[in-house]
Amino acid sequence: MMKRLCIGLVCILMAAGVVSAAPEDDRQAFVNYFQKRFPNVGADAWVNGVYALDKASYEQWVQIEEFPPYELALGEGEELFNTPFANGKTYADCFPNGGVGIRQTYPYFDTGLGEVVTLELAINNCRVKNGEEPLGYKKGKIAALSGYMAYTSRGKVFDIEIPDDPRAMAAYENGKKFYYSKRGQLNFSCADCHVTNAGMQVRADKLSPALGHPTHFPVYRSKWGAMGTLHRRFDGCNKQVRAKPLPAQGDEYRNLEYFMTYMSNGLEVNGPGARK
Amino acid sequence: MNIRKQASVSVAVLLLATGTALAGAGTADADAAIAAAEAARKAAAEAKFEWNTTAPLIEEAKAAAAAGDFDKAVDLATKAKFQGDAAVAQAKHEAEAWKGAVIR
Repeated sequence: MMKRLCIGLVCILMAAGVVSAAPEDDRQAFVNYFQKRFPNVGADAWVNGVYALDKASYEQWVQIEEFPPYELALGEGEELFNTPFANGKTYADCFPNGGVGIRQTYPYFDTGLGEVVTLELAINNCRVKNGEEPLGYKKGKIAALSGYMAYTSRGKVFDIEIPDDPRAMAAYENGKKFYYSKRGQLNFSCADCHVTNAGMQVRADKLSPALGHPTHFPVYRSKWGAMGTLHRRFDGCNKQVRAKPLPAQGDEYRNLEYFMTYMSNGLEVNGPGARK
Repeated sequence: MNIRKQASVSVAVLLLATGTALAGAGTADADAAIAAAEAARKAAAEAKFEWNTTAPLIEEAKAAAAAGDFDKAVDLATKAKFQGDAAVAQAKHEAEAWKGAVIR
């Protein structure tokens, strides 16, 4: 009887352990996959996206970074960040450490709200709380603000936590499900391009690896001729596989960002970035 | 019914069918096809798996119907309905299939 009880207890503990360790197991498997597939890429180089895989593109990108195209947006973001709202408060009043050097903790699961909070959502929550209109979520001022906040966080290491809350685990799992689910007329998942076919050519472009994807967002993209948020990029990716994009900062995209950023835990913030 | 009567009825039915075919689709056919396509698109949207090619096809179908080209309207709406149904099938399939793609 005692033996059965012990075995039962061990099973329960093992099950509990498996549940709480799953995201970390996922992340380790993710990292191992890319390191095994691209053994010449250094452990810290994944933050460079596709430029970690292609020397010629890397050299061009380094030259672009000498006069970075996101520089004007950084200036705009800094000015916006420091300009008081009509009530005299500023963004600094809404964030830990005055909003400086905190990008690496976003997105996080807010146990009070019961949902994932991205940096862009937190910026708009701050605005609304202080009587201001929310900004659009894909480009313009929101990207300038989150770009500036990312810039103040460069070099900090991503540390996304999944609190001991079933809703947080559900959000992570939903993001993971989205990442691996095929969608659109072309029947492609995020993983089809950025895991299975990372490093392969799509016409003239090389597909970037998933590991490190969120570290450099928001980005100045030459194709856009402007800054854009990660959710703007999600929108574009979905369109490319002929799926109707879902709303920026809706549950699906925020959960997706939560999963993706957790996969990049341990990598440094290097946003804002410059991309083709 | 004798043979002659049966043959007459068959010929009448055949002529009616041919007549309908020759006349092509009408407003009601186009409206029904567009409504069916819209219902399929809506089901895909509710599953969050809508394709971005479906709504434009429905819009084209509506434009064709408005221009009086009901055959074209039915053809486009039928394609749109197929896409909506396929997206719903994709959602159902991926509800479990995604697990097989996870890196382990």
